[in-house]
Amino acid sequence: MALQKTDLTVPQGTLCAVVGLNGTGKSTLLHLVSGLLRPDAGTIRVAGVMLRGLAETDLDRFRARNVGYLLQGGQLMECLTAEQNVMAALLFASEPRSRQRTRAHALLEELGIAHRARHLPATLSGGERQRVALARALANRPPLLLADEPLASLDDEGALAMSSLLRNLSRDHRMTVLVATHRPERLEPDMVLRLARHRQEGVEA
Amino acid sequence: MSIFHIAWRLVLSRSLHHGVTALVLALGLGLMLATVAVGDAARGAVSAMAARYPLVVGPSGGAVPLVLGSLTRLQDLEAGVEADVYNLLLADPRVEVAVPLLAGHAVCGHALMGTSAAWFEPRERFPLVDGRLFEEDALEVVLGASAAESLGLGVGDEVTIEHQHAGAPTEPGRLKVVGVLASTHSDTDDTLFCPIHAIFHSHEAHAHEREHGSGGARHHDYEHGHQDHHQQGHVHARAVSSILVRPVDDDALLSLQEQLDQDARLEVALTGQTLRRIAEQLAGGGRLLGMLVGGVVLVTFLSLLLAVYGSSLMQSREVAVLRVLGARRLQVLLIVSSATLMVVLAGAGAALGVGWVLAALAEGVLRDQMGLDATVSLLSGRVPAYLGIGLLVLVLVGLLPALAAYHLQAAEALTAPVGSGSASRSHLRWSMRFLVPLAVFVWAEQMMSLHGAEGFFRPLDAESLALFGAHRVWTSGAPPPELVDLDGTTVNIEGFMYVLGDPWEVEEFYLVALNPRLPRCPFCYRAPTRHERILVRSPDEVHEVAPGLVRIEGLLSLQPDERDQLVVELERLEVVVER
Repeated sequence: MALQKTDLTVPQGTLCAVVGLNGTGKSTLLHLVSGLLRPDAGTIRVAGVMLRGLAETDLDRFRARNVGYLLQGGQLMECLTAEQNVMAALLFASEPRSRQRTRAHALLEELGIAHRARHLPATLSGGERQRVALARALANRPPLLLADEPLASLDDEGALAMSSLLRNLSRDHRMTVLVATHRPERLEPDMVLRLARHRQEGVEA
Repeated sequence: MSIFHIAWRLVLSRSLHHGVTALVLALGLGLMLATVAVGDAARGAVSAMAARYPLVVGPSGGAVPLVLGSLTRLQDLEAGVEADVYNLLLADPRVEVAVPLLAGHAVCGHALMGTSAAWFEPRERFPLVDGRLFEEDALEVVLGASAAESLGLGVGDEVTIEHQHAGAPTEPGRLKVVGVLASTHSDTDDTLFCPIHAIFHSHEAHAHEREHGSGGARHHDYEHGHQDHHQQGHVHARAVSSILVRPVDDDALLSLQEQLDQDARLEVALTGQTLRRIAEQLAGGGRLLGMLVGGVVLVTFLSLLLAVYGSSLMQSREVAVLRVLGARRLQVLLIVSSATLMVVLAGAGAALGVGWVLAALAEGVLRDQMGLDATVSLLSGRVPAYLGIGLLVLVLVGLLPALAAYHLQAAEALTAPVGSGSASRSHLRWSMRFLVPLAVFVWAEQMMSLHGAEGFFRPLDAESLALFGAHRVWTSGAPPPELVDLDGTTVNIEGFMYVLGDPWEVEEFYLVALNPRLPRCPFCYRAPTRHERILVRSPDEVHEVAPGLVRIEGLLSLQPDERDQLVVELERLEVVVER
C-alpha cells in the first residue's frame, strides 16, 4: 500500500526527480526499481529487464551489475575505509580483485577525494562521505543510478556540487538518474515525477 | 577486497564488544574444560591407584582411614599389623606384590617411612637424582628431594631416627643416605624412605641399650642384631602400619580377602570399593561444584546470546547496505558467520589457555594436597569431546546473527532506526527456531541421565561398557568388550561387582555388549549396544548378606545378525555372594 497507480517511463540519459512529501513513497519507488522490493502488482522494466520474473539471486546479480544506489545520508560501511567501500561494491559486481584497487582509486580521483582514500568514514565530512558514496554507486558502471535525498545533508555549496555531478552523469555519460528529493529545483532535472498519498500525482517534462 | 576481509573489518570495528564476548567465552569454556579434565585425571589416578594395589591390610579400625593413610597420606597411620602377616603375604603364591608401610617416625621434622623397594615401582615414577635405592636388609635411607634440600644431606651422610610413638621416649638410630629422589611434586618429596628392618633394628638396639645401660656399644649391638636376623631369615615380633597387596588375579583377591577377613585384628580394605565409598561421600560437594560450573556455563551462554543479539541489531544496517551493493544472501551469510567464527575461535583459543592454567593449578592441588598422582591434560579423556561440543554449540549460536542477516529485508532495514524493526524481529524469530529445539534436546538429555539411561553426551567408560545401570553398583573386572568373540560362539562372562549396600536391594542388572564392528560416534562415544536385563535371584538363605563382593558367572551366546547387529542371548546366569 506504500505505492500504487504509478506509471512512468524514463528514457536513457534522463535525470528524473521524484518529488513528494515524507512518506509518499519516494524511497519505496527506488527500492522497487532497484529490486530490493518486489511489487505486489504491476511491472517494472529496467534496461530491458523485467524485474518481476527474476529469482532473488538474479535480482541480486542484476542490482550488482546494473544499479548504482546512492543511499540517503551516504550510508557507508563504517568499518571500511573510503577506498574499501568502493572496492566492496566492485567485489559484489564480480570485478577481478587485481583491478579493484585501481578502479576504486580512479573513481575517488575523479570525484576529487583520492587523498582521503585511506580514511574511515567517521573522519570524513558530510560532503566527502557523499562523494565516497557516489563513487561506490558508480563503481560497477551502472546504466541506472538511484539517489535517495542526495542533497539532504549537504550545505549549499556541497548541494550545488552534487547536483552538478548528477547532471553530468546523465548528460555526459548517458546514465539514467532517478533522484528522490525535496528540492528538485537545485537539480534542474529533465523530468519530475510528483507523488502524493502513495500514488502518482503527475509527471512534468 | 574479499568477503573474509570484510568480515575481519567487521570484527575489528567493534573490537571492545567482540573482545569482551571472547573473554566471557574463554572464562566459561575454560572453566568447564578444566573441571572435566580435573575430574578425568582424579578418576584416572584413583583407578590407577586401585589397580596398583587392589587390597590394603591394616590394623582393625576402618577401611577409609586405612586406605587414605596408605595411599594418599591424608590420614596418619599407626603400626598395628604384625610383621608376620607381611611375611606370610610375601610367601603366598596368590600375591604378586606386597609392600609394607611403617609410619610414625621422623628425622628433623620430616616423615620417615619404612617400606620395601617394591614401593618405588614402577621405577619411572620415582627417578633418582643421585645414588641408588636402599638394600632391604641394610641400615640405609633414601631421601625425598625437598627433605634432602632442607636437611642439607646427600649420599654418604648419616641421619638419626626419631621414634614418635605415643608415650615412647625418643630413641635414636642412625641410617646411611644412599640415594636422593628427584622431585615428584608430591608429599614424597618431604619424606625419607628406609627398609622396615632398619626401623625394627633401631627399636631392638634401643631395647638392648636400655637393658645393658651402655650407650657406647650402640653400633656394635646393632650389627649383632642385624646378623641375628639374617640367620633367622625373617622378621618377627614387630609391627607395620599397613600392607599394600596386589594379588595375581581376581580369584586370588577374593580368596585373600576371605582369608584375612577372618582375623578380627585386621582391617582388609578393597581399595576400589573404599575409594568409591569416599567418592560417594564427597558426591554432595561434587554436585555443588557441578552446579556452580553449570551456573557459570549458563551465564556464559546467556552472555553470548546477548552479545549475539546486540551484534545482529548493530549490524542490520551494514548488512542492508551490503545487499544494496549487490551482495547475495549467501555472501552476507558467509560474511557475518565468518565474523562470528573469528570471535568464537579467539574465545575457544583463549579458553584452552584458561583451561590449561586452571588444570595446572588443580594438578598441583591434587598432588600436593591429596597425594593423587594425577596428570591433568586438556588433550585426553573427555575434554576434546566437550571442547568439540562446546565449539559446536558456540558456532550454532554464532550462526544466529548470520541467519538473521540472511533473512534480513534490506529495504525495511534501510529505513528503520538501527536496533529496531525487522532486524530484531527477524533475529528473535530465528533465535527461537534454534533455541527451542536445543533446549528440548538438553532437557531430554538431562531426563535420560536422571533415569539412568545412556545419555547422548555420556561417555561409556570401560566399566560401564561391560556392566552398568544398577543402582549403587560399581563394576570391575568384567571382560573388556573387545575381547568378546563375535564368531557366533558361546563365551563365559565372569566379573565382579562391589555392592555398597545390601546387594539384594538391587533387583536387576543390565548386561551391555558392544559390537566393535560397528562405528562409534566420535562426539558422544555412543556405541551400538545391546542390553539384556538380568534379574537377580534372591535366595532366602542369603538375605542377610552384608555389603561385599558379588561374583557374576554367566554364559552368553553372541551372534552377529544379517545387519551386523550383535545379538546377545543369555543362556545362564548365576549371582554368587562372596563373603
